[in-house]
Amino acid sequence: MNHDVSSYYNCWFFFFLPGCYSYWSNYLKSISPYFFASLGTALAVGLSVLGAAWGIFITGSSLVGAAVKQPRIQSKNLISVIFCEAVAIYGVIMAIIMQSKLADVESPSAFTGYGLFAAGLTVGLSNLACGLCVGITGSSCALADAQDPQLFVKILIVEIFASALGIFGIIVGIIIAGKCTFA
Amino acid sequence: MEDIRELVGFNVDDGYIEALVRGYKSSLLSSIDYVNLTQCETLEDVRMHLNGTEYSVVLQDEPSPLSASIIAEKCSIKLVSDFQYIRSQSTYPLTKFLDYLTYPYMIDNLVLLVTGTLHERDIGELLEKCNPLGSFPAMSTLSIVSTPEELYREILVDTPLAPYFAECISFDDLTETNIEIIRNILYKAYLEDFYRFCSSLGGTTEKIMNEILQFEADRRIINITLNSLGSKLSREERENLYPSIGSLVPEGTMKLARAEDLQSVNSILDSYDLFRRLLQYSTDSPGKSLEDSFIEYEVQLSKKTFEQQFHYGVFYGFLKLREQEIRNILWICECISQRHRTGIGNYVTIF
Repeated sequence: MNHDVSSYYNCWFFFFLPGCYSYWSNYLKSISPYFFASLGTALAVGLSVLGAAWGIFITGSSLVGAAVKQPRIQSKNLISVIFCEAVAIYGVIMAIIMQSKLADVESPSAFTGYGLFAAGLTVGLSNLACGLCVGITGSSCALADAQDPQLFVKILIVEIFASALGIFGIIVGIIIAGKCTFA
Repeated sequence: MEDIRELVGFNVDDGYIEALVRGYKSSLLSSIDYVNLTQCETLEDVRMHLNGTEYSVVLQDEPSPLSASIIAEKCSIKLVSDFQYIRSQSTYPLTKFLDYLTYPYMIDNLVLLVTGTLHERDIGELLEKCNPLGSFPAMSTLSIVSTPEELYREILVDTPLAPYFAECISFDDLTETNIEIIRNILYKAYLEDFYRFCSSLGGTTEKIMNEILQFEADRRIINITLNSLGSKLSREERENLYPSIGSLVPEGTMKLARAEDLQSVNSILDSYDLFRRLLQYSTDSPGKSLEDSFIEYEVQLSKKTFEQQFHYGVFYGFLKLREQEIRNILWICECISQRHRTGIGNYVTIF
C-alpha cells in the first residue's frame, strides 16, 4: 500500500476538504451519520410537499377553468386535490417517525445514518412522482367531467391507482426506518 | 424530456385558459340543434331556438324585423368578445400564438380597405365590413395610396404584417390583379412564419399545428392553381405564390405549376392519397364542390385538436369551429328568409 503517493493525490481538493484522505472512501466515512439521517428527514418532507404542491396546481388550474362553464364539477373534483394532499401527509408522517429515531450518542452508527437517509429518499421521491401523476390525471378528469358527467367515476379509478404509488413509498420507508435507531 | 416538461409545466401559464376554451367548445351547437334550426319557419323561430343555446344573450335586445345578416353579425360579435377574453388572459408564448391566429383577418381587412379606397368608397362604410378580429391601429387612418411602397411606408410598417411585405415592393402600382397577388404573397409569408413559430414551440403543439398548416398550404396551392388556369399568370409567377410548406412540395408544386387544364390537375392530385379521397368525395356527392370537401376536412382536423391535452392547437380548433358554426347559422337563416328550402341541408355538421 503506497500511502505517500496516494495521499498527495487525494489532497488535490484540500481547499474544500477539512483534511487529506488516503482513499475517497475514508472521506465518505468521515462524514457524520447525523448528516445523512437529518438529510433523509429533510428530503422526506421536502420532496413530498414539492410533489403535492405541483400536483395541486396542475389539477387546480384546469378545475378552475372548467368550472367557469360548468360549476357543477367543483365539489366532486376536489377529490383529486385531496389525493394530492394525502401525498404531503405521507411525507409529514414519515418525517415525524424518522425524527423520533434521532438521538445524541457518543458514537453514532453509520448503519442508522444511511438507513434513515435511504428511507427519507425513498419516501420523498415516490411521493414526488405520485403527486405529479395524480395532478396530471386529476386535470384530465376535471376536463372530461365538464364535457360528460358519466366519465368522472371511470377516470377516478386511474387516479386511485396513481395515489397507490405514494403508499408503496411510505410502506418501504417505514420498514427501513423501523430497523434504525441511534439510541 | 420535452413531453415531461409539457405534462408538468403547461398548466402553470395556460391551464386555466385551455380549460376555458374546452368549456366554449362544449357549448357549440350539436347536430340536433341544427335539425331544429332547419325546421324553423321564420327568423323569429330561429331566435327562439338560439335562446336555448349559448347565443341566448346575443339576440335578446334586437328589435323585431330580424335579418340573416344581423343574426350572423351578432354571433360574430360574441365570437370576437370570447376571443378577446382568452387573449387578455394569456401570457407569452400563447399570446403570440393567438396573435398569429388573427393575421389572416388582418390581411383580408387590408386588402378590403385598399381596394375600397381605390374605388373611392367611403372609409366608414369599409370599416364596418372589416373583420374585428383583424383590426390594427392604422386602419381608420388609411388614406389614398397608389404604390405598394407608399402602402408599406404609411400603413404596414407599424403592423405585425410588415415583415411579410418584403417581396411585394417590386410591384409598380396597385391594380386589381396586383392586389390579389399581394394578398397571396402576404398569406404565403404568414403561413411559413407561423409554421416556423410552431416548430420552435416543439412538442405536441408542433405536431398538431404543423399537420394543420401543411393542409392549409396544400389547399392554397390547389386553389391558386385552379384559379390561375387560363389566366395570364406565368409559370414562375404561379410558382412564386405557392407556400413552401405542405405535402405537395416539392414534386407536386413543380407539376402543378405546369398544369394547364383541370384534367392534368386531377391526375397530378391522384397520386396523393388525401387529395384523391377529397376529390373522390366531391365527385361522388352531388352538389358538393372541392371547396366543400376541403372545409369538411378542416372541420375534422379542428375537432381532432381537442383529443389531446396540454397543447395550443385547441385554440386554433375553437376559432375555426366557431367560425364554421356562424357560417352554418348564416346559411340556414338565408335559406329560411329566402324561402329556398331545398339547399338548407348543406351546412357542415360539427358534432
